[in-house]
Amino acid sequence: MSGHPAAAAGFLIDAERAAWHDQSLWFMRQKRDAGSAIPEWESLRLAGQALKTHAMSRLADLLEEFERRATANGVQVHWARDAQAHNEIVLGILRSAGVTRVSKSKSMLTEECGLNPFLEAQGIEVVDTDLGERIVQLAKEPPSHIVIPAIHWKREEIGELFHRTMGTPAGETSPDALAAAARVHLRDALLNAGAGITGANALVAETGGVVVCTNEGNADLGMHSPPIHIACAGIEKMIATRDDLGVLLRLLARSGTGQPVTAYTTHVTTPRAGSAMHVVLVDNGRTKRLADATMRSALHCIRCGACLNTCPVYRRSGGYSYGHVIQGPIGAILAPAVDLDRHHTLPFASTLCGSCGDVCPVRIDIPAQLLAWRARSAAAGRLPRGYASIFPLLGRVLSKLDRYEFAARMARRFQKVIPASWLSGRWNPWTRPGRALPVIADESFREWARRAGRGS
Amino acid sequence: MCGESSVKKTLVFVHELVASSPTRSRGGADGVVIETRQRFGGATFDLMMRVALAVPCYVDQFRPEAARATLTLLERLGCEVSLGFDAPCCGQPMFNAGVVTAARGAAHEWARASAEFDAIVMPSGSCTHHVRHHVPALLDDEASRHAARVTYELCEFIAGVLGKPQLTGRFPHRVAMHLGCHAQRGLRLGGSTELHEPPQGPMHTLLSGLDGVDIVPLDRPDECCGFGGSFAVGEAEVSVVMGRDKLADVARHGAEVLVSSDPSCLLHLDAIVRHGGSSLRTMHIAELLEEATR
Amino acid sequence: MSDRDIILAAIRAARVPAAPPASAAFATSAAPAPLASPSPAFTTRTDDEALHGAFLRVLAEVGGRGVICQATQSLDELLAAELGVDKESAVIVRGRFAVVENGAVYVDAADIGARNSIVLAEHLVVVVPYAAIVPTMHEAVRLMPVDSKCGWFLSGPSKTADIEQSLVFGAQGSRTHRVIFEMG
Ligand code: SF4
Repeated sequence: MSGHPAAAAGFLIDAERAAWHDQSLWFMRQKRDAGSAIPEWESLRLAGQALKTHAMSRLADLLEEFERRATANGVQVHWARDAQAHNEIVLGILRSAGVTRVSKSKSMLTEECGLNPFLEAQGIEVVDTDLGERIVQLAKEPPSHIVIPAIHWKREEIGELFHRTMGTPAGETSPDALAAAARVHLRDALLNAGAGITGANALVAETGGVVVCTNEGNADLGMHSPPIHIACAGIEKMIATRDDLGVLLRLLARSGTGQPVTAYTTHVTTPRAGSAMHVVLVDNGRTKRLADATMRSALHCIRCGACLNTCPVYRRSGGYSYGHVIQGPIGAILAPAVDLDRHHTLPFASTLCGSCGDVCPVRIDIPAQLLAWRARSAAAGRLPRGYASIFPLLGRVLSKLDRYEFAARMARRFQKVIPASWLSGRWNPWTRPGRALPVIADESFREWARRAGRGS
Repeated sequence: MCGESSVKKTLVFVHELVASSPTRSRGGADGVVIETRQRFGGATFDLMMRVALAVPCYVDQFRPEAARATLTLLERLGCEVSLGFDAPCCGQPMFNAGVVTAARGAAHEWARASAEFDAIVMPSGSCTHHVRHHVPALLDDEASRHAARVTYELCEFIAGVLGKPQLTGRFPHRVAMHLGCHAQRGLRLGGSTELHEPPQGPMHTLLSGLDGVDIVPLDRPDECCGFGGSFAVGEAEVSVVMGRDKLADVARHGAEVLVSSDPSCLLHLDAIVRHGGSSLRTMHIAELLEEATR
Repeated sequence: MSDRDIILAAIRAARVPAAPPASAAFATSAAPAPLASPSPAFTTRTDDEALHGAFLRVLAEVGGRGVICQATQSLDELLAAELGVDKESAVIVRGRFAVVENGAVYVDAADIGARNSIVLAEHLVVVVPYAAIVPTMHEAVRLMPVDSKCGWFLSGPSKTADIEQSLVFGAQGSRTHRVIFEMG
């Protein structure tokens, strides 16, 4: 085993912890169900899908409109074709202002671009200020969930980590006390940074505004305190109008955490007097996906996390099993576009149960794209181990009745003579984790029907 | 700034929003009847139609009793059933594994075998889903479109096409229901928690119409059981944990019987039950309905 | 070519088929059809009292507290009574309007001092005109001032659930959050 199956099996070794992880995320799913139980929910999802489809159909125009307005408002707009260009732009801004310490609120884009290690290698200190992100940053880990980065951490472990890194009392495990300590620790970083970096939940062409949503308020401390605010955004964050923003805001938090809206929703168009504001628009593979009609709608993702929370596989295999900055079902359709070779097991890390597609607030048909990626993996000769030898053969056997019945009779005979102990050996993935061998019936339905004089 | 008139106006706006919510295609008993009427041009269903029982490959070999129960049940309900459907497999296993070329041959054979029938009944939600939603796209020919039009999952056939959402029968047991995800979210044959729907659909209607039956509510009524075709062996560890969790949910609510409309889910769940030595009885919905209506 | 030109050219080369604006998908029917299903109070009740009642309920659910300042009462008296000793560390700002469905109030940067004051405040009080209330975000986004430099929808106090999903108020911003509706 390698790839997702191996990582997932590793995650499941600690069965109790895996069950806790599953239950924690199921709790999120239940909060989503309750929070999204409004009569117009399905209409809203349709509107969410429509506004994203529309924005992608006019993306170049909208980006230009956004740039025009933002520039007129005194915002400096930058364009980055890839992660490297993005990181260089951010570094350039910081260097020219002599900044050595920055705060950063949650941004999956900067994770994708590897901004933190890049800046740190240049001698710039980066403090992630979302509490969950700070936890994993202190532990030198990547986030394991796009919305709840430290969902895999237990309070005792966080207490121990904070004791080591922030000097909280040993044995402190109360979330109130730990969060209070983090508040002091993070305020210091937020107020004394030379620049604040944020992501963006949306860019609005009609207003030239950048929209940032948080519950903690860290993004606001980060962008409104230091003399420089840098907002980093993928180009797919573009939406057309404020009406679209209304729809998006109604969908986002309800899907993610079940809240009707996040505690802080900031719409900023103009830097405050005496400070600078930059927006970095990043491609990094997005235009390539835009040209791919089958997979295009994956760009509609608003990173709410609902598909992760509902995914029975994600819940039981953990964020790290995906080996990608975006995890879960959406990660499984985004990662192969980045590197099919490396991530070829991800589209297979799904039962195709369809739950992700039904919770997605912008109705991305994730199951259909999982299937399409499977077909592309097969075409590229990158099927999971065993698939390439089994399924083409199976296809031949199952495409003609006589071949199928012959194979079935042989299998039945083998089943009788080969010892069950061998059949259910370690090599057999059906029985290995705890399943009894399937039993081929002595008489198939077709054989019975023929015997009864009715069959084909 | 925002007086009463603007409030009223915005309320109208919300009303529009609600009113314009589309009616999703759904597989509730009524939905199928309507859909069926449309399909057959408003004529009531003619029992002289050529109805075939199509038995998926793994049911044929591993659970022939489910196929026999399906046959008995359909005949008891007045159908004349042909067993002349002579294709072994719709191609789903290969298709879902990504090996599309290998899926084509089986699908092609399946579509060919469908040509002479007006209705094809399958005791499997996932195979029906594949035939209805994937095969026409895969083959893009008239035969496959015909197959997609005439193929029905057993419960939707009984409740919808035959118009018998309620059968006369008795099943005095505590039953846990597992629809199978492709019937649930692919064919929309059940109420989905994601869509804030109550338990509904043809299988639920048929089951709850039986005398004495006690359908136990599950904590996660529509969570996947973990079978997932090739997933069951490709991701064997996750698959089995999912199955165990499903069975634990069933056990927590004191069900004596676990019933599913999908024999592939049962193949997996039953193997976990047998490995663990529990006394839970797993049944296919055809077996249950056949037993209840004897 | 600059990165800007490369990106814009690549987008145009992708030839994404035209798709109508979202509003067409959900709000264009000229004659409103009757309601298909009963809606919760905030989308069906038209009287102001019901809107305010629903707002106060949602605000409480998100951890905030709302009070209606009666015509007979002065705002200062109310604040003194409401905040007690917290008055010293409270920041009081004007909000433009309230949103029923999510308990949010809109605050514009033009109406406050330093932008970060709303987050630095230990106790935040937002005073909103009684009549300025809308049912949902659809109306709310249209009321955002067109010349706004920066504005917020604030829904309850700062919060986090990043430690084993236990809800903690006052994560990084205000610990308490009050909305006061002012008459007249
Ligand atoms: S794919 Fe959909 S459900 Fe998943 S994170 Fe993105 S928007 Fe949310």
